[in-house]
Amino acid sequence: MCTILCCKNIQAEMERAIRETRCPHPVVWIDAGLHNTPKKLRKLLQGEIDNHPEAAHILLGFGFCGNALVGLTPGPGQTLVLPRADDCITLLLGSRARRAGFGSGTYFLSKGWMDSGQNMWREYEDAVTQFGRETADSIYDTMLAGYRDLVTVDTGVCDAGELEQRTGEMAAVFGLTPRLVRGDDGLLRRLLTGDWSDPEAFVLVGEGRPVELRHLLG
Amino acid sequence: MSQQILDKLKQSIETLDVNLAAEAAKEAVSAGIPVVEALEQGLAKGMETVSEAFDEGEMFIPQLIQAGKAFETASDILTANMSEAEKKATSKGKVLVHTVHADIHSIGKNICATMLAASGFEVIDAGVDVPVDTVVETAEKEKVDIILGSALMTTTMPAQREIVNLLKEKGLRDQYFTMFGGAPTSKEWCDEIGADAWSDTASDAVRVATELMAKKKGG
Repeated sequence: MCTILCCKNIQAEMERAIRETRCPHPVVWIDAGLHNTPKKLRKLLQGEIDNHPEAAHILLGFGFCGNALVGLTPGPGQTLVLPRADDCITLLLGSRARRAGFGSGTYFLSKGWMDSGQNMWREYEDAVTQFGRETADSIYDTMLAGYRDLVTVDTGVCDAGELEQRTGEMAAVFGLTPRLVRGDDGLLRRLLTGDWSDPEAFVLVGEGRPVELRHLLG
Repeated sequence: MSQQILDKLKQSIETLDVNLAAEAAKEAVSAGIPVVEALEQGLAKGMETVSEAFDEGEMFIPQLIQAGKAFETASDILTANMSEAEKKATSKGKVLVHTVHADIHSIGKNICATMLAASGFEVIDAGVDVPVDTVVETAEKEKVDIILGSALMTTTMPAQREIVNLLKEKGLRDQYFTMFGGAPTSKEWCDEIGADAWSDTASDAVRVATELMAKKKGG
């Protein structure tokens, strides 16, 4: 018996992977906004782990997300299964190696991020309301200094034309170069089908041991 | 009267109001409030509130940047009448601030630099994406007391370990305090890599740097 805990930011992609792999496990969807408050996210995830003592495996549809997963501890007889991903963008790109290839001057978006209440565009609009456009633009110049590309991961869960248009609009405002790249849900599918043998891709943390940062860094 | 001005300085940061920060700082100068008191009892208190709101998810990065701007504006006014010689004479220590190699995130690093400078440290800002060799060379050249490195990505955190290792290789480990921070870092991580200290927020960085310098002076 497995239980899946998954961030709502990748709900559409995870639901499709569950459907296509005929995965029978129940899913608990976790509010995407909690990535801003890693301590709260960790507490909530630990509560969900504790609430599912019947699950021999807890599958985490998360990246390490600002260390939110560090410290999670499985219950008696339980194993936590974690993709070795720094955040959910890696889950949508399929591997850490692919993610690393983009370099640190890349700001990533996905359908889930665009639709969530806390994306860069929404925060920019809030900043315009709070401070006025001139100050908001100055804040965003500071915030995005060093970024070059705005990359949206097209995971096939929505119309690519619409994604491209929204990416282009945001990139124009922020002075970034828009790019659309194809997603790869191979990591999610392997998580769901029990194909966890590749230590580069997954970490299994057994009973009584907490998740540690070294599990991600390797 | 002094307390009212200190409260106004604190409030200006909490409300992210650059104009109010400037006004309160001018009042503090006119009232003869010591710079350290205005910084520690006014501006820094406001920054603590902002840091807590950020941790609780009640404020986000744009608000943090604006708080940093208000802080910088006020501290520039408060310290405007101090000569470079005075600043040096009262310096709490010299800190090399940077964002580690392959990481371009500057916000946390900049806020740390602003708060450290405002709190009486001499700050050398080496910028972002600073190679490990350059960090150590700059520390040598500038004769700093503390190397402070920020990493915002799990993929760039290992550069913090490399800095500690390079200092050891060169026989310089005892010459500098190493202090690291950034969202994915932790005290456990800093202990593991053999760093001297970890700081969670910019306000905390000032506290930790002050403690390190006290340790140095205490031998």
